[in-house]
Amino acid sequence: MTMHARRGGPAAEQDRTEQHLRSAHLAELVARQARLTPHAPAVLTAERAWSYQEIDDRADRLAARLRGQGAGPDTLVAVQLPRSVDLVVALLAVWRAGSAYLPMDPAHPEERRAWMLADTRARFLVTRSEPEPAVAEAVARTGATVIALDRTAEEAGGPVGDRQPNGPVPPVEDDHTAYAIYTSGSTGTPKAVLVTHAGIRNRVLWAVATHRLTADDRVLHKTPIGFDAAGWEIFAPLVSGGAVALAPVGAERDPAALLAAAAAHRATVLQVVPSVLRELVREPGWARLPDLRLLYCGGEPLDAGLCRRALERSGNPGLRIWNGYGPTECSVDVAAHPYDPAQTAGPVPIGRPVDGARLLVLDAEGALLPQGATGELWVGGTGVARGYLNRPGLTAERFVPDPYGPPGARLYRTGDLVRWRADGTLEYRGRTDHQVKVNGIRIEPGEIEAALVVHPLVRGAVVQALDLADGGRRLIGHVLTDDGRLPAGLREFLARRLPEGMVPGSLTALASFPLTPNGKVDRAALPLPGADQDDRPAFVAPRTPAEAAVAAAWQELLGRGPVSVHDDFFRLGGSSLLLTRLAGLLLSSSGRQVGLRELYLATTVEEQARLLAGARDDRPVRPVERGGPLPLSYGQRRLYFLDQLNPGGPEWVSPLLVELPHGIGPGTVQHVLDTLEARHESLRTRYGQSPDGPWQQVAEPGPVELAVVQVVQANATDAADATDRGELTRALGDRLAQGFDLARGPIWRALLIERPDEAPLLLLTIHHIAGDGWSAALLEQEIAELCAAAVTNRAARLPELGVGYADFASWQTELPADRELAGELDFWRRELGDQVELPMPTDRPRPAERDHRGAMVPFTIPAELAGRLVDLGRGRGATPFMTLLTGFAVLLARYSGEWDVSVGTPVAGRVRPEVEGVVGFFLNSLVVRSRLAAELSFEQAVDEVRRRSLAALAHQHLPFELLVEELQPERDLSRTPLYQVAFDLHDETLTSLGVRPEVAEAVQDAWQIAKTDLSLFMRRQPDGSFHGLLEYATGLYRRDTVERMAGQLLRLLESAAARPDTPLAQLELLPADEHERQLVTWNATRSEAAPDTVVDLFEARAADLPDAPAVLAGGAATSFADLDARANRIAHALRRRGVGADSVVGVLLDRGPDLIAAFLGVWKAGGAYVPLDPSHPDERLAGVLRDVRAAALIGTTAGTAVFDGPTVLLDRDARELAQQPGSRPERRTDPRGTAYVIFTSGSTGRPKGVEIEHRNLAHHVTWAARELAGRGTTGAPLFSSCAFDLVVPNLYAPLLAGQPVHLLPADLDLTRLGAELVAGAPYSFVKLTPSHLEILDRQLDDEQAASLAQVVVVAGEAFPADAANRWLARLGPGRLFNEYGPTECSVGTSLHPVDTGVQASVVPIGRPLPGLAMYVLDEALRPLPLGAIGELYVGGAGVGRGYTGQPAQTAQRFLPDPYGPPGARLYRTGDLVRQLPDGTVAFVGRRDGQIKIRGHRVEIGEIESVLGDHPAVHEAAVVADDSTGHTRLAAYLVPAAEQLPGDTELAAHCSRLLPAHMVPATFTALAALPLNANGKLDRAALRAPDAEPAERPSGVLEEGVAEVWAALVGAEPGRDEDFFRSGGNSLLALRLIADLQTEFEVDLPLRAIFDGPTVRQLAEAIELLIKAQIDALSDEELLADPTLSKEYDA
Amino acid sequence: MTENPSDEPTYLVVLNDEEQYSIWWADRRLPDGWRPEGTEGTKAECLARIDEVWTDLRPLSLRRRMAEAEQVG
Repeated sequence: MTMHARRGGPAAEQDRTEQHLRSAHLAELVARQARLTPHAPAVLTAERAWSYQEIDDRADRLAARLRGQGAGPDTLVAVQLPRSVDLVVALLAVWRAGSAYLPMDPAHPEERRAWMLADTRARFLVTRSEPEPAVAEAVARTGATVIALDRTAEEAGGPVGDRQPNGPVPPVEDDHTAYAIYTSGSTGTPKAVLVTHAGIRNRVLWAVATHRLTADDRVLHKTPIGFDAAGWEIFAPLVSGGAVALAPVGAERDPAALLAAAAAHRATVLQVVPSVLRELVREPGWARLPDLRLLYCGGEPLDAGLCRRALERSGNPGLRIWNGYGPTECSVDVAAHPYDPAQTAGPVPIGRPVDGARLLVLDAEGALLPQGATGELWVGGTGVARGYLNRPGLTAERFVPDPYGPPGARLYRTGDLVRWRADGTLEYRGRTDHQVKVNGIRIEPGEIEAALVVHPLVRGAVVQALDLADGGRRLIGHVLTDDGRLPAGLREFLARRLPEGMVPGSLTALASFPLTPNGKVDRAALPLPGADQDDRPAFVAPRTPAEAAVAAAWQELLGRGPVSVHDDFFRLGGSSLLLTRLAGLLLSSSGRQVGLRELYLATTVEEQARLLAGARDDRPVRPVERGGPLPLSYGQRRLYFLDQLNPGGPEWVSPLLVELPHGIGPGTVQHVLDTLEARHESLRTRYGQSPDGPWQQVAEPGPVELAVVQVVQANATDAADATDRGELTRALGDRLAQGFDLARGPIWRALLIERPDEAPLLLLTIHHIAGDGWSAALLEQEIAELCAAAVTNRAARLPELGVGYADFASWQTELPADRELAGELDFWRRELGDQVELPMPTDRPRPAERDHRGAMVPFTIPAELAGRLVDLGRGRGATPFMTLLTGFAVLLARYSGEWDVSVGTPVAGRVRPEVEGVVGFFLNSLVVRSRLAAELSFEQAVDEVRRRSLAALAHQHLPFELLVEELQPERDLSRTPLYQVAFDLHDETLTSLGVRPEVAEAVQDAWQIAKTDLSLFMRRQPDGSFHGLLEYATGLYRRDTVERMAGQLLRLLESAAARPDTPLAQLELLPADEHERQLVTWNATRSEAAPDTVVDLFEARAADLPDAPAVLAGGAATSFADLDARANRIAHALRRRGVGADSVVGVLLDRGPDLIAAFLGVWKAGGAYVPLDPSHPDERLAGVLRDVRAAALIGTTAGTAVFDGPTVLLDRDARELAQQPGSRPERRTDPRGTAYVIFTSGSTGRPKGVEIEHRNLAHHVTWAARELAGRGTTGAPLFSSCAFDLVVPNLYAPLLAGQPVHLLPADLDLTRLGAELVAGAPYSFVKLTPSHLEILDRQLDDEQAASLAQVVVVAGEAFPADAANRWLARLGPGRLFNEYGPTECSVGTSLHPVDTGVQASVVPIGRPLPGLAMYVLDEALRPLPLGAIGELYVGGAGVGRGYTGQPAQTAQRFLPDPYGPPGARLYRTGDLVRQLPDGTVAFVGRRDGQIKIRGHRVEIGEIESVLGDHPAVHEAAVVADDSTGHTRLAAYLVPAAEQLPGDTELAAHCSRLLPAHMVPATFTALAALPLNANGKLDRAALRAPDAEPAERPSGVLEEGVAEVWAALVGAEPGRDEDFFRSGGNSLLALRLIADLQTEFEVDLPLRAIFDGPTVRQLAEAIELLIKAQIDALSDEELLADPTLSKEYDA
Repeated sequence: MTENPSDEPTYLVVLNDEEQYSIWWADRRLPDGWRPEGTEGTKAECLARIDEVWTDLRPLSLRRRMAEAEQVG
């Protein structure tokens, strides 16, 4: 052998060894490894490492003992040992004896283990402790031999059997059983799978080879031994020379312990089921796993998102994730797939077959399925097990002949549905049966059902797996009992028979099961758990804070209503996996750490609260050294930062008004104040800024600034009261307007208001940085005590303060390193990561910088309504806070149209007991983000808000400032971060003591601050009512709007209380008077009686004025009589071609007298016309004619290609026409007949024909003839395409008024538009598009413009305000109108007279024309509050018939009109509008014209109008470009002068007026904006330019700025890169400014970074400052400071 | 466990006295002057039904008058 090997060379030797090893059994391979590396560590426990030799020796001894007692091949040896070195030794020993092991997890119920022994009739039981009674009885019955490992002997290293060093392994065949493992059985009995040595060897060696396991690997063994996956965790490292690291018992269900074990052993390989991984990724501590290289998942479907999170958490670039798949029956895994990090979502495939496995996807008949088809997976190959122990029938059923394999081979039918993907991997698709996986455990619900019906009182049972919202699953059970009550102790009964993972989380008893029509149990109809369960103990509400904290955490986790202190966590649906999150929640709400194991054993609220109360309190606030600068708390930092933006401003002045006892004078008050300042450090703290950040320092106490005023004598009359109040208001207002200097102090002030015959009032104003609402209550109490003590001349009794605010600040700044905060941040990232901004409509445009001025509107929820609401909430476990917040959130959603509503709410933030009595800013803000939906009922909405509120409250530990930095580092000075609407329900205990209502009102009147856009403060009154205050930013809202909001909130709450099951979209919102006014009053427009048709009216006019000019073209006039005769001749010609009533005739003619005659001629023939623009492509024209099934076409020989039906060609048929009679053909025009069909562009890209009836048209044209043409006598010009309905009044209104239509040449060049128009001016009216008006702007001088027409009507698209204002200046009031009207509603719907300057960016579209109605409605067709953005619906006389040949499209856009006369229809315009307080409708945008940028809703029009305001810009268009993956805005500009200003200036201009996200990224100059055929902007023709490479900073200043910047942000900036878009945040901004100040020795203000956040701009700002400094220096000084001059010269 | 019932609202096919068709929410009061056609289903189902039955967009009164005129004529 040796010779032979030598001859064969080392390579051949290696090959043979490999081959030998491949066929050796695992026990043999471990023994071989022990010979190779006897001293290497084989098993690692928390205590020590066991070497291979130790393990090997012990295994041999135990094997000898087994063999000595008769064990041999196929002998089953039950091994009942906890995870320990003994277990590893025992398994090896069993194999070494040639036998098979049966693992019995000691954690499984005793009865189950006893049953397993009996079922398998195992010959041996290896155990450590004395067998329990049931097990002992089974042993006695089966006659098994018990081998008890003698602990003492073993630990002394003594023998457990005869030592047979490295003795030979008895002959074991590949097909001999290696182990028997139980799996859940559908018939109710679990079954033991017999896996062969060849099978498990194959799987283990596959893992070793695939994952290249070596002596360097440490595999964590944590899977309970009863699962087959545990096997490879143990044997794979042992056959490859590595170590198996044993996780402590119980770690498998404690993610923190699991990670800790993996970290302690520096594990390289970790196997987890996805359910556990989902919990693991929530855990901090991944950083401690730098060695982890393989995360092996299996047992249930694996989601790619989860993998991605795991990789993110780990941060370890070497970590790979694999997804394994396989049933126990096929030796652990048959397929596996390496997770590809490029996959971000969806299930990870189960991959390709492992070595030796053959996978077949077959249909029900056993035929092979092609790639892509879903079928059952059948498995063949080495891994296929022998079968089920003692279950020949079942074995035969599941293990079937393999028609595709070698003779005699078998296939195992997995029952799993899979399919082959195109890339050759398998995808898991579900189960063919009821089998489920819960937390990775394979479960046959039938087995649990069978265990349940064993109970004498249970007559039937159904167990199902319920999918949870978080992606997890849990088991729920329903049992049938005679009385419908749950038998006492049923859960315990089950727990004795089933492993923990199989006991349903909830059990519900029913007296009968719902049945399907064919008599089976209707599983879907079974009530979901959460309904009251009869066996719940009597309800006892939480009695202590600890119990309340536990109960709140349960409510969040289990998603349910109030819990009783005696409720059981598991019975309410909890699972062991949820315990981890419970521990996390308790940690963040209480700051206390409770062990998982303890929580698992203490299952009631009461018991867990006891644990919590006794838990370790690890980090109290402790006093720190004073005397030097101290760090700021996060709250202080934020306030300091905000104060620095507007130093000394009034925004952060908080008032406290206290009524003092009678007779207290200034002397006493001064003493009281001085005592308070000495006592509370925050009242004498000063603030400053250093390169390391802001600091605070506690100053020595000094005399507090106290002013005294006397309010004049007030009698008890109302008038005098008013005076009193007025004076108070003034005094309060003065004080509230006075800000503080944080650097110098003071930081609070006092005003004593002495009132004759009344108690004196003390007004304290305090900078918010020094105190919050809680502090105010503390101060109020202490003032009361100090005054009382002074009056009675005793010592004041004030609680002792152990710590000051600065101690808390130091404590808090150490938080981020804390383990719990990482979890908090995770929660908030998940909760708010994809937050959407609430697009609340405002009355005024949002200023670029937030205006902090505010005011308040008071209102009251009456006690009766408040009572019903509180009860409604209570019934669903919601507090009044949650119920009221629900109402407020619904109001916001209805206003904004956004159902995902984030509202801020303050919490006290006093998370430590040490700080309860400390004055200071502890307040923290939470964001409650409720995902509501229009169809949710109010009750469901309460549930949602409750869930979200609880979750937010449970994670209130994280300072809001950290959250802002994390989630919204990009500063937007126009709004408050993360939320713009706030809600607070004040605690009754914090009410101001004894201040009378009129004094409180004075404070309200004096209130001038809005902390955010809109805040609702509510306070419960003693009578049960709620007093509400809506605080609003006066820069955004009008008072009447907010007053209406209050009324609407009340209406909404009334509606919700009356019918809580009403969908949110259908709750009443508008009070009756608003409803009436918006729907009825404003639409009650005067309308004339139905007129004749336009053609009848024209004929009448022609008869009246035969010789008057009707058409003027190219200097020639056509009289009314001529036009009428010409039209009659055309009509006769058409009649000859079969045109009659309701025929549609195409008119394809250039602009000229014949065009008008042709239109009239079609009508006279009885038909309807479709106007066609000769400039359109033939194909389009032909399509239109096909769509309308045209009966004939009027045109010229040039245009015949588009139509193959009858034609009247004016050139070809000139003779025929001339021969026709000039008289009127007989006809009766029906007012409901079609007048014309006009094609508009369809959203689908195909134009659609709008059918307008004669009555519709006549209605509009008679109005236009009266109101537009009637303003003069000189007619109107026609100069744009007649294929566009805008020109309809230009055509017919003059004719009906007896005036001429001026036709401009057909080939009109727009550069000559002004000149051509002026030639025919003045007109009665001109109607044109804003684009045309812009053209005229440049072509006409003021005088020409003013004398163009009596009336100028602008229509067709949004009318920019700047153009309107220019033309208003030229025309004067009464002559300029903005008209609006979709084609579907017959030309015109509404009109807005531009009589005064327009403030908004575009001109409103006004009020309805006579006979029309406009409704601003939401999706549910309900009227919206004034100001809210909704869709415009049009009703009334203009509503047309519909879309030619498109009934479904018509039905979708023309709806039953709920607000009009019976049977009327409403047209849905697709335009977003809002109604102003006077009823005027303002256009906002198209429903489809909205884009979203970084979660902000953006209307392109707003940006365009801002750009248009720049003096150098004539016109602007903005398009959104998504080509780079993120949306960026591209602006296209037509310069007013020759040259466009630089990008920087344009961006700066936008930044002045718009929030950062609305500033375009690129600016491109164009000679003209592209227009489409209708004269509207053609956005599709605008293409985004390519991004240019970033310019480098240049020059000493810019490079210097860039260097400071890069040091802070960690990346080199481009010259024009925005600081906040490049990773900067507000804290870094403070640092940047401070560093730049140091670097350049200039006094650079903080706002410089907001005014110009780029390197270039900062350098410019610094340069200006340096210049100013130099200018201020004398020459001598300049010469004396060479550095300065050098720097400047550079 | 079981497939979720669709969250999509149910609509009715409705028509007015002029036999103009439209759709309306099944659970909302139908405005006066309109009656259900009999079809109830998703929006797409109702619109498909309308595409099938509403073959002539002309209002009923017009159709009647035109038919009369034809007979007379």
